[in-house]
Amino acid sequence: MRRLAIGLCVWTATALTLSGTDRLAYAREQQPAASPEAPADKPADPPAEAPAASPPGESATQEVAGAKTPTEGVQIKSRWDDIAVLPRRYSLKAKRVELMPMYHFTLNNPLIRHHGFGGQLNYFLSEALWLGIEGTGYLSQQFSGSDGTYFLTGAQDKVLPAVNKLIFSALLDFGYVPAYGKFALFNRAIVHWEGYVNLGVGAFMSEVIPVKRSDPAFQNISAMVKVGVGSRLFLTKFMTLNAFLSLYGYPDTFEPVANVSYNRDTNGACRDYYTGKQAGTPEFEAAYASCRKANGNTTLSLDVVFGLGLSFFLPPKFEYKGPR
Amino acid sequence: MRTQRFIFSVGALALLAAPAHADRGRNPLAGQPAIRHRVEMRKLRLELTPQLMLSLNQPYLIGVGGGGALQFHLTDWLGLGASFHYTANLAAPLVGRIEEALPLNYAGLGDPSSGLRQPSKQMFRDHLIGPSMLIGVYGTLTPIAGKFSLFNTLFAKYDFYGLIGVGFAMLNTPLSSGQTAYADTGGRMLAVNSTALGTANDVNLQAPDPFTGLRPAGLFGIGVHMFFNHFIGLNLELRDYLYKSNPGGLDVSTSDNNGDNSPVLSGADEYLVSNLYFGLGLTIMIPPGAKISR
Repeated sequence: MRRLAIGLCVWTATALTLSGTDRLAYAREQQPAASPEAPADKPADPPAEAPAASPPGESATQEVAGAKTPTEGVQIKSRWDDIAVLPRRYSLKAKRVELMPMYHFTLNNPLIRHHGFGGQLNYFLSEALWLGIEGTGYLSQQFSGSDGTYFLTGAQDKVLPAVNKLIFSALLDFGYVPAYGKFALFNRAIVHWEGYVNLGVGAFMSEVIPVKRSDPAFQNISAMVKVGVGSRLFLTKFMTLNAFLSLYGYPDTFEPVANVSYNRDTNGACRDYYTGKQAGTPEFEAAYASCRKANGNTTLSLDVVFGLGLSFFLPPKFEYKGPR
Repeated sequence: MRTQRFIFSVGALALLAAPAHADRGRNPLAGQPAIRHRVEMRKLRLELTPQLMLSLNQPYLIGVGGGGALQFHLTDWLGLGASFHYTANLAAPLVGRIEEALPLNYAGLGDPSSGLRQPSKQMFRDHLIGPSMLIGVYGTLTPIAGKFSLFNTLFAKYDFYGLIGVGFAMLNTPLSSGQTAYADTGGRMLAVNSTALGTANDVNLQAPDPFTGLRPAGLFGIGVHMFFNHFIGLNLELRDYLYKSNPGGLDVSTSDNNGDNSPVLSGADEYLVSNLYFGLGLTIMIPPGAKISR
């Protein structure tokens, strides 16, 4: 029994001692680079370098087979030795597809807020350039509460201004990333980000919200342009949180609120539209809507929107081409 | 005896090996600064920023102006500042859309629409309220600072900051013609009253004085600096001044009506409004040299 206990102690002590033998190697790592042995202990060499032409013969083959790979060299070293002096770009985007669900809302329209829900599908031609399409559907929030401008304009000025709601928009986008940076979050995580500008051209559909509820609503479809700036915050190598500020410009046609002569009177300003149509029929109402649309006021609407999106880059994985 | 000596020798070797394990588990970077020789762009420096300003969300007016902000940074991330801005106000597109529906002259007694009390175009303009002067005292927090590359060629330092404070807004009637009387459709001249009449008050003929003057304001904002060198940078900022106002300048609340139920313009017609401004500035840091951390 005593002999067994002594044996166990011996084996434990031996195991602990042997496991500490690489302390000598660790000590060598601490030596200055001027040491003649230092090159052998430097952090991993670039793995992507192709080996020199192998000498012919069996001895050369054995030498290659027995050689340690750079990765094996890294594994036995301490973790802080793997820190590169110049870290690589966190994520590569070239030839990847970005899928971004997004939400945005208008900041500057005092009568109505458009809540846009949509998405962008972008293809990165390079790390900085992309082409894409975006589509947005809108929900409208008219400021008709007790301190909303729409309500107050009616209460104070006895006028209800014409207002349209957006239905959808679809644009072809072009984007460029001029700025790339990073920052430390709470002095712990390094967060990479990039700033971009983009231009878009496309079409939109809007619909009149009639001031008089008995009047017909009509719809407009026309061209739309967009100028925007935004930023991507890299959450992972395939996912980013995006924030953007965009200006949408489009010619929108509003109903002729100020001119009351455009009404259902068959002898009024819309009489030409009513020829051959019976009052109260759908055809008559359609003609009335056409009259109001033709005599509406077309003005350039400029909507400043702020939005957030979550981008997913596909394929999720990529390979660095250059050496580290 | 020989066996015991062997055991003690092995034990001693094991004890020598133990500290080696402890050393290897300790990160030599622990307790060291995250970034050495960091340029502390803000610490104990004065920041002077002349700014151009544009209002983003006023319903009837577009404020365009300029001013400046002076800030002292106690640390690299905490500062105290004060700002002063003056803005001129232009008519927003909504003004045109409302005016096209308003009559040129106020409805006279014989006019069928006189009971509606609809203001004339000029009355409407003369009552619009907007800020002309904005003053703020605030604290700033700069939690994020770093550097970025522009076109992969230019490298610049930047920081994001937030600000919170209090201030004042000087309100006036920027589109007012200064008329003291308006012609009605009957050809009569109707005089403007500087204060509300006790009975049969007409708010269209009452001067919007209750809505003008200095108003206390809450101030919130976010911004970014992009430094070209250690002492000059570009500043982009969004500021929101929250204060009580009545941008339309006419009657809102019925709680302040006269005994005969005629409406009155008073402080009760004001409500909390948000005025968002975009600022573009050139930041100058004083002294020109920034401290370098250890």
